Amino acid sequence: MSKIESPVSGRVVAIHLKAGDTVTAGVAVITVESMKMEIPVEAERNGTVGEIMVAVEDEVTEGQAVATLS
Amino acid sequence: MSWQPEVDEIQRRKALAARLGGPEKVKRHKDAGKLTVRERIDALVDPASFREVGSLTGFAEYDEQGVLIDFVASNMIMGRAKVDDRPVIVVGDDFTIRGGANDASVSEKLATSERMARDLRVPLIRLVDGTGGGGSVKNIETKGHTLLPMMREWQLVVENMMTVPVVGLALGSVAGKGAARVAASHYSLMVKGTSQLFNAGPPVVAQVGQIISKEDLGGSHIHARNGVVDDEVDSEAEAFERTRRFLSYLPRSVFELPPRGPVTDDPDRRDDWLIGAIPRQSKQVYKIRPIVQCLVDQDSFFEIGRHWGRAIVTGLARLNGWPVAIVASDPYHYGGTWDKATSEKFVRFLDMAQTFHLPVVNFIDVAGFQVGLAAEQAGTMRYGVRALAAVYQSTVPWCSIIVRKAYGVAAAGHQHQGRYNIRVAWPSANWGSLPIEGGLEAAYKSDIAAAPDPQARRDEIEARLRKLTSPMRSAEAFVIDDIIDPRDTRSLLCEFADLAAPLREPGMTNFGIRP
Repeated sequence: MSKIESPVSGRVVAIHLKAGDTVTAGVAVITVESMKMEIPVEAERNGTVGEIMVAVEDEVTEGQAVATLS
Repeated sequence: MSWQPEVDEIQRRKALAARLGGPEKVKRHKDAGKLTVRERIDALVDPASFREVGSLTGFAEYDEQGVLIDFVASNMIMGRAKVDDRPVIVVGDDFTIRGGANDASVSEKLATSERMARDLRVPLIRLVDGTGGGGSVKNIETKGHTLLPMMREWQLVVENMMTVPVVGLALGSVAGKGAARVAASHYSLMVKGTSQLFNAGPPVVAQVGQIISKEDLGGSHIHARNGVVDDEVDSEAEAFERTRRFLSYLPRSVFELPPRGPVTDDPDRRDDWLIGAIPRQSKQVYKIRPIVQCLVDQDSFFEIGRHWGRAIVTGLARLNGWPVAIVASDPYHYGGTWDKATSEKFVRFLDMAQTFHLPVVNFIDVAGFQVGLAAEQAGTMRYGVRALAAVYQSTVPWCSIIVRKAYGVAAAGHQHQGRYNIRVAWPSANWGSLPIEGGLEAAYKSDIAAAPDPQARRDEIEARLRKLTSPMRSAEAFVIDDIIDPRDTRSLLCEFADLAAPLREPGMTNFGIRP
């Protein structure tokens, strides 16, 4: 089990996957809007999404865990 | 009678030195997943190329007749060698003797390794695996007095930064002067899990109330992300491979020029996907690394500092065989806006390019410096103006490709405006002193406020301005040299590298003061 962290501070604008979904490295799990840009928060490796820890409109900080990956 | 007995004695002493700290300590070291210092040197340099200097240095024990009964080598092994058939100086700590502490090395050896690199004008590779310069506190009793910290060889360390390529590898727990010797380099690495770096280790840190493991205190996850070292790798073998690769782009010293590599790739190669590489939707980001990798000679991009200063990607590459320094904005990090770390990374990288005569290619998508309270509190402008100064102090040939945004002071530093540089834009480019959002509200404040429907008025002004933002209109006024088909970029870059090659001038760079 590892955590997917947001690389930037910003506001969650989209959640693309849900618990149990399989994901491959480089695929966006959520999108965070920051500095007027939409930044995909991507899985660094292949796995299964455990938990999505944020909701749309949540403010996240750089380095904050946004999902778990197993 | 010949000198055979003495020659035999040399061999005997070398055999004793080869035991390092003894089988028990060597085993413990290797069980921790690390190579010994001699294995490291063998793995790093060309086979049989290592010519040790100071091979007889160490601590001998004699019997009453003056016959040698034991010998422990200095825990600093150094000498000359070759990497890819080019000369280097290599110096490594032996952790198995006194934990690599510098006081067990015979002090003049360290300075000699640095002096040899400076005066022979060849690259220096430091394999650091040891503690600080003063060694153990036990020395107070041994010597009967305390030592004022001096680091007498530091003059050489600083001069070498101006003279020869220096690589610092942290290969174990490095503290104090060991940590400083890693950081004071042009390229530095840590090995994940088996190397840690700190000003002082956990026992000292415990005295200021922090109980923390050495990995948590100074692992590569910390220092490859704050810029103390450039990169982290998975193994010592990978550290050596990256060291060899790094040196391949650089000259032996500042008194020579970076060597041209093999020409293996078509300089006029056009890759179709590039025309769609930048999304039309302005909020959508894209991956810059594949773009850079595609435009330079195939497989030639060597990224440096991936995990810190992340608004730019920096690295060495080849264009038509010529080594060049690449800077490229990464919109994934706050839309490519510059923070303090990005400015520091830019300065460190550009200074290296300038020092070793590497032409610069700058791919620009800079929305400005980071804005907001946190950015102001971080002192972003101080670091930003230092980066701008570095641009204006550089004399290396420069080529700018504006791929998307260029806004504000940060983007104004995309090149030295006082000399001719090749500069073109992609059709996706847009620019300005301020972004229209926000800038508009400031510039048309009274106009908007006086309107019966301020929002409608604002939107009307924005629509009016947007019509004028096409880069084609700027090109009409020669604000930009040209707007090019992204697929023609490689051809332009290879032309730039060919033009730049004879403009590179060997010699030492002296930087002036920076704000």
